[in-house]
Amino acid sequence: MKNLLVILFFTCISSFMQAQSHSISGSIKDASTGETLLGATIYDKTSKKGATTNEYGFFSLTLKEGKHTLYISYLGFQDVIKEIDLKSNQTFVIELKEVTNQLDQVVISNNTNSKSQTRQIISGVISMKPQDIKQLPSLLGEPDITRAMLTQAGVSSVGEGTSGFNVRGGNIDQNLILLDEAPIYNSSHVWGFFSVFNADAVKDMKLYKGGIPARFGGRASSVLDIRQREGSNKKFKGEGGIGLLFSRLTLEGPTKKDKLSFLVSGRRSYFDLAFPLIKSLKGNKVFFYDLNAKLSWDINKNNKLFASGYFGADVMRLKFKEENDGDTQNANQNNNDETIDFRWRNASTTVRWNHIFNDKLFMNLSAIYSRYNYALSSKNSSGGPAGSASNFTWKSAVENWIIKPDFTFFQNADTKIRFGINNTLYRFTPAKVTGNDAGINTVNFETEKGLEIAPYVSYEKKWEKFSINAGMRYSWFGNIGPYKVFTYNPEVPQTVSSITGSTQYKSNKIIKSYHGFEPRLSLKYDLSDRKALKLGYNRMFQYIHLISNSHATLPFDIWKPAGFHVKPLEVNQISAGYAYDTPNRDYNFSVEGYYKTFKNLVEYKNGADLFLNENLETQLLPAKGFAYGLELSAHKTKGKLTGNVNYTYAVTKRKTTSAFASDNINNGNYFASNYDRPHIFNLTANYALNKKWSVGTFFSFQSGRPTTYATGKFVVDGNQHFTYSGRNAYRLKPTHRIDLSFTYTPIKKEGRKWSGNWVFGVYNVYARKNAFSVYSTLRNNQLRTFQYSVIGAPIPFITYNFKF
Amino acid sequence: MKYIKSTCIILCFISYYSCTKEISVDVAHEKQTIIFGGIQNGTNNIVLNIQQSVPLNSTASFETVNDASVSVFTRNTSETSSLVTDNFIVNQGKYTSSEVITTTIGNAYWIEVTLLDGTVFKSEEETLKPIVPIEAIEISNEDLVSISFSDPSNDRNFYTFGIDLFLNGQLVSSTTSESNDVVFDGNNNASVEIDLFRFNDDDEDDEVTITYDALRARLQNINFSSYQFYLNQSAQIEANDSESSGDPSQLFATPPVNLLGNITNTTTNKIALGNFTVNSESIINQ
Repeated sequence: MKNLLVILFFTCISSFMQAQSHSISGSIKDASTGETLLGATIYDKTSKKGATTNEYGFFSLTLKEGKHTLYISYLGFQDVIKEIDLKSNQTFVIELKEVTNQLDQVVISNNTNSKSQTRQIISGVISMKPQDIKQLPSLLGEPDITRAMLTQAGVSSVGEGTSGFNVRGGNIDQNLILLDEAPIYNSSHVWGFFSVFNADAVKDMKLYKGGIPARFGGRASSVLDIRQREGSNKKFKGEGGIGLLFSRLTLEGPTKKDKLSFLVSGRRSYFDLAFPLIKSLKGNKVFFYDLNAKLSWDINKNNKLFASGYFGADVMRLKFKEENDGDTQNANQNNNDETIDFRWRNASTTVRWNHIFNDKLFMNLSAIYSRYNYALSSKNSSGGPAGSASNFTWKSAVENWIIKPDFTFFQNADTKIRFGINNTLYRFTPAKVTGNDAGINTVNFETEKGLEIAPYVSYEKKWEKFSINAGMRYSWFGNIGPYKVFTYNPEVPQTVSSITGSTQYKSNKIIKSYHGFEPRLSLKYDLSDRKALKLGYNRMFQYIHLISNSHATLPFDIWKPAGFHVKPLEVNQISAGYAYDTPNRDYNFSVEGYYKTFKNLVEYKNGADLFLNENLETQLLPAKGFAYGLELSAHKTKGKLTGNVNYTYAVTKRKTTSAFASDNINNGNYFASNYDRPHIFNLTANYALNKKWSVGTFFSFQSGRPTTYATGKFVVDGNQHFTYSGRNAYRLKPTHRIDLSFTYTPIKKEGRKWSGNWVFGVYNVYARKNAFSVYSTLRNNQLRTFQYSVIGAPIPFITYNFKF
Repeated sequence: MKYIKSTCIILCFISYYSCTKEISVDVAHEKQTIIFGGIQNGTNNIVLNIQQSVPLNSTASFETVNDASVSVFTRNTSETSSLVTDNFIVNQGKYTSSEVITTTIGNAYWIEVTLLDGTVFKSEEETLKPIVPIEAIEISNEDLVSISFSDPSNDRNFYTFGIDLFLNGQLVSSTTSESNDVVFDGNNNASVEIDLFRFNDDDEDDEVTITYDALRARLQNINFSSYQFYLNQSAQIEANDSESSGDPSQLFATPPVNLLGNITNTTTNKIALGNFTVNSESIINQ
């Protein structure tokens, strides 16, 4: 840390001594909408110096006084060449025009914005645009960001239809998912089938798997940074899609031209609209919706203000009618209409202020509120039997308040320093159950609060061949009162029977704090301008855990902060890779290996009872683990045929480390984690047949998930029971599937605003019945084993997408 | 609360595309010893079963162990320990104490079992807790029995509830469930519902009802480890129940649960399969 400050000091001093140099700074925008372009490149051919716009669309490039030819480029946009005579600092807003024809778009030559891994210093970064996602064949025709991530190397899931994704052997709670910098706690609708992110509202996505920059923290395995579009400040526009089960609509435009713009994007499923027509489904509701909104105010050349929000929910209302068999005498007493109402929702709001202090110093200040909550209620219309356990309301929530100033100092064309501080206040409401009958008490588990403060600094420097991005993050986390902490007899395993007492901590009293340095390092050595060697290291602390003992996470799994009994997760990762581009950069290849260690993972005791458990720590076991793997990837981004092929070899194992041998899973030996899928092969291809037609396909082959089988039997109280193998000692069969899509885009007539395309295809073309799980049932006193497939049939889809 | 899992099941459109098929799996079996039984309030024989597991494809359901030595011990409130009995009559793996034993509320009880090969098992020392009387039972919709009782305050309680159905004096059905007192701690009007035919209404016969002329409700006040054992037992039965398997709830299945309770193999210092339950029971007949 001390050394970094010294470097920072001297680099600042030296920047003032470069008298012969001047800076050009500003932003690069889409000419048709005024939307900033993230990752656009500005390159000076004379000095061979360049810069890219940051995640706020800002760039700064310091060049020597004199004439320069600047090449400004961005994928899907026409290049701009700008001649300048640099005599003083200059500020530009550069606008690029979009390539209008889709076929031209994929054929266009573009040397600087491919999927190349040779240019960026940080290893293990996957960049995707909404166009990439929309080209993929998708389930029911709905472009899905989570599924798109699953087509990439090093990203997997436990099976089809599950929530979230796993990166390099990490749990799904180890992914920091940010939407306009606001953390999103549940990234799925319909129990995991669809992502909550509406691709129409999204501008850019980046998944960091390794060498994670110092400005990110709080989760241990990856960061998915999603940026919402700002909305056109030039003219009113709209786009949307009509599918079999969902429709979406986005409206955007200037409130004040070139100054103030808005974007509103909505999406709703409507598979429940037919319910009223079906007698047995009357009164039932099953749907989800998303609403994204953003307001962008270009105050002046040095100040911009953004306010964005996301609101999404799943709603499920199920009615059950219990009727007696014609016993009219008691009909009024015994007819119980029971309603189960179940909903879970994300809400986030972000207010951001971009301020340019000068041509070298840029600031983003974000204030964020994020909330995830769910509610479950059950009602008996007739009151039910006395003391019925069916009448209750159950609520749970996790909330974040975040404030984070972030500064970037562009010292010169080759040196960039970034620093700031992240402050997050967490509030967890594990369970609040209100009984509507005399027989159920109100259960209000104490709210847990946590405060995370994390200053960071990173230093990026490019030499002729060698580049470095080194950072240091220091994070401090405090679990703060009021809260009651139970104490246990240390001589025996923690159970409710071993409680020896409790301590009630007062409001805002620090119950337990943790802290640590999180070094980050990325090194790149250019063997040529098309070949690079990379090395990365990162340490991440995660101070919150998702408590879930199932294969796939549930919307009502709870989050628990580190505290007196639960330690924060620590992950250390080292990675090394090689990136290669073919001479005309048609093809981009990369190979990357990693080794990762996990300390203080949370595992669960045999038969863990996580349901409404005030002493949750009694059900948890400390664990450690490791993961290693090799990722091979090839991209083709130009020509009629584009796509990606990748192969991942990955291993991830865990072991519980309880001091009490009797507690440990698998006798304290290592076992494969639920996410251990050694071989994953993905192929994505799109082919532009002509100006109207294109075809896309996705093929995936993956090793089966580990599982635990029954191995022996015995009888207790007349019931047949079983002994089981070691945890995850066996493996399900490999999974594979092909999806296919066709896109028909009529040629847009001159002067006509409306344009559209039809996308249709089939998900799981050859009806592969991929095993999600294997379970056993007793039939005729014989244990028979069955394989369960979530999707075992081809699923056709058709969607009409439009723009105006 | 029971509807949380069943709510998962109602994902009709997922079910439409999902499917199941029977497969064969090749697994290796390692023999394990299982000990289960208990001791109650009042004056009763102590009964214990000792078995060993058999491979899944075995024609037998289990293997009996008839040559173990069993001892039951107690410790009173003055911390004085003594042997209760080590005289057992053995029949097909079932060990019944030679004489009836009178227990004392507040005393701790445990067993020690030694196999012929010298392996020793010991159960946790569990306290015989006070009786929690059943105050009333109410039947609704012919299959839902509500058991009402007063939950003691300032104490963590763990219960098993049982409903036995009789026809002409013969037991025709027995249903049990378990609960802690989180949602009714100290509540004078605590109640628990038990579905009489929970595991009987499978796909083949939706309308299974059992004819009975007498009903017995049981409430057992037990210790935590025994409660955990019964939770494990229920979880295993439910996981292997033909009705509750094979639907979208498989998405959210937890790892299989071994029947671990309060017995430790002291030779290997590992928790063993089975449980020795120390419980005080309240019964009401209707």
